[in-house]
Amino acid sequence: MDIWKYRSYIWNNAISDLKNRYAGSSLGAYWNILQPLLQILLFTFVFSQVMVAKIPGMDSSTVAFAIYLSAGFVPWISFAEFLNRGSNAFVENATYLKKLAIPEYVFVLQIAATTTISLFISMALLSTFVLMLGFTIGVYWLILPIVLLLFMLFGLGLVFIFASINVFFRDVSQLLQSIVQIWMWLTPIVYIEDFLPASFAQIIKYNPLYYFVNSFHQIVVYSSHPKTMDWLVMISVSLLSLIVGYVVFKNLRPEIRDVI
Amino acid sequence: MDKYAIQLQGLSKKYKRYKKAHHRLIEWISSGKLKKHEEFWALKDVSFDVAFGECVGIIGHNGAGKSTLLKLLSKSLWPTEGTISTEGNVVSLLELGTGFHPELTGIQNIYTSGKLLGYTDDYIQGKLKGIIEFSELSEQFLNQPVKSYSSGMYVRLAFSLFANLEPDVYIVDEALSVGDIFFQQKCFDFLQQLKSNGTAIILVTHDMQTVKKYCDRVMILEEGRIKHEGNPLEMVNLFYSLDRKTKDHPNAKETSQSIAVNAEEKMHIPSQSLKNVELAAGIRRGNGSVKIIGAMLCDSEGGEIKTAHTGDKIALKIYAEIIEDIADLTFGFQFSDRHNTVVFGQNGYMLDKKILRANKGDIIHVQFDIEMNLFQGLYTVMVASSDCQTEGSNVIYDWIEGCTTLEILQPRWRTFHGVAFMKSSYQIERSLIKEVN
Repeated sequence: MDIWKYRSYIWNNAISDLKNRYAGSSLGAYWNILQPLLQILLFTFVFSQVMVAKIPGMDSSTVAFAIYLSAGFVPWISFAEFLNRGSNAFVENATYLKKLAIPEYVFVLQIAATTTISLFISMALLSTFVLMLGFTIGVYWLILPIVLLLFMLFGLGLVFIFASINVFFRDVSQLLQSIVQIWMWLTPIVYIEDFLPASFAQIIKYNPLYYFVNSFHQIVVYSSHPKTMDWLVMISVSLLSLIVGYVVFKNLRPEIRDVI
Repeated sequence: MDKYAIQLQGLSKKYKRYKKAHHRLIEWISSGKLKKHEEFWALKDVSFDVAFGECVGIIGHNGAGKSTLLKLLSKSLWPTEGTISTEGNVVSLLELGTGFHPELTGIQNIYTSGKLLGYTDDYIQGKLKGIIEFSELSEQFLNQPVKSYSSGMYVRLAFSLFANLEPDVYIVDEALSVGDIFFQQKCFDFLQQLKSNGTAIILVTHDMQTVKKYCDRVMILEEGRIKHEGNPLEMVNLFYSLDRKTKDHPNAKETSQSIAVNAEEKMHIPSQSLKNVELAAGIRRGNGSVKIIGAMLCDSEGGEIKTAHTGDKIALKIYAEIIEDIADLTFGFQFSDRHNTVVFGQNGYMLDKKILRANKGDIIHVQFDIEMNLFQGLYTVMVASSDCQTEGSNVIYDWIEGCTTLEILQPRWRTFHGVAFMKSSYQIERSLIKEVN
């Protein structure tokens, strides 16, 4: 199997990608940790000291909203980065695709590996932070990696769709950047669902990401577990996205190297 | 048991050409019912086998489908129809240095390139010693980023990696024509050695010398099909005689054409000479008082040539039409080498000190007989018409660079080195006592 043959390329490049991302800066690879850390600290400061926001039913602490924000926003950053970088995976590696037998999907998988690793680093930081603020990390946190992986699998299917189409229509990756922005506001990441007007609250239920982010909130903020409905949606949309991604990629694949 | 290292069956490659980008979208939306593209077959029904230990050459003009074939062979393109079946490990020199990252050191690049080609670190580690030895690069350089390498060193490193991958099938293109001559020779010796060890080699190239020297069998690719197949010498000669004529008028059979001057007198102008001017690769300038319509290099029989040996007597024929009456006229030529240095240039006035006069409408035929005392290599030919001012600024009527090329072949017996041939003789004496004045 080709994936097996190129496994060390995928892995090594994912690691060197993380290392080189901040190449030239004196802290180098440490920025992979510092970046999300500063993000979390900023949220905490702003929403506990400057704009004191509280979550209904959790009046106990002012930092609760900061944790709520981080629980949704930290995975979102990785997801958005995955979509944006992933959609350029084939175009960016045109020099290789023009000359080498290396399979196209290797480049998508490499970006998937990079973003997944950085997602897990950020979430590990978040967990230490939550502990330091005196919150408990319950047994439900063990479910978190599964939800995160489902989240990335959902993204992987989409990336295959966009990366394939982007080879033929380069506008796709530009368009995607705007779509990702809009998508964030359609997901309860920086706001709380309960505060929404009823009509809009209905609409966001059609957004598959609602169920993922809801699950993150359940685990991180409420020390609970995703509901059955959440699981059903997360598993089915991930499967659907992977299937559609596979079909699109499979159909466009023979022509990708002709036009790239 | 399959004795072929590589087998191509009915290999074809079709490209879709869209006039506008959104035409593809229309096709997608109508799920292919609305056809908006033009088909272009870069390769059509190519079939051949290469046995282990055999070297097959594929030659052809630009646009004949060579690079498409190369890419299909190295699996960086998918065939539209047909199959390629290979036995064992295929290595293509098309990939030479592709995976190299300028910031990484030589050694690091060996590993990353290896991984790009699908080899594990362990495998590359086992080969590392051989790769380093073959490259002849010092340890100091190998631990420096490759951005500090000269292009020759770069190729050395890249080729050394490829040479040590133990290929069963080797696909070679022009990549080897870079780098210094000694390393090139080493590479070719290495190919020879690989071949005798049973590696199949496919050589896709312009370089006729290499083809003649290394190939067991040669195929001529023309318009995406294999048109001729045979022994190297025959094929190379055939290729030269086909030359550019076939590219534009595949059916053109006539070799000359007449232009009337007046009713009783006709000037015979070979059509190939017209083609040369029409398809000239270099710049054209001049005030247009004279129009050069044809130029070609010929052997003693008057047939066009593209190759010669040092010392051969050849003729350069120039045909021109006079557009305006001119009182001060001559014709000239220049040979330039691959670095675009003029190695020799001359005009008629230099030879006979005669200033020509010509009337509007005249058709002129000029012939220079030249002893080709140039060193082995590829030269381009410029032809021109100007006034007879040989020093300082002169008036150019017409000037066409790169209207034909001449390749001086490797000599049967090397009589000199360098760019110029100087007549020399040689005496030798012997004594036992020396005296210094």
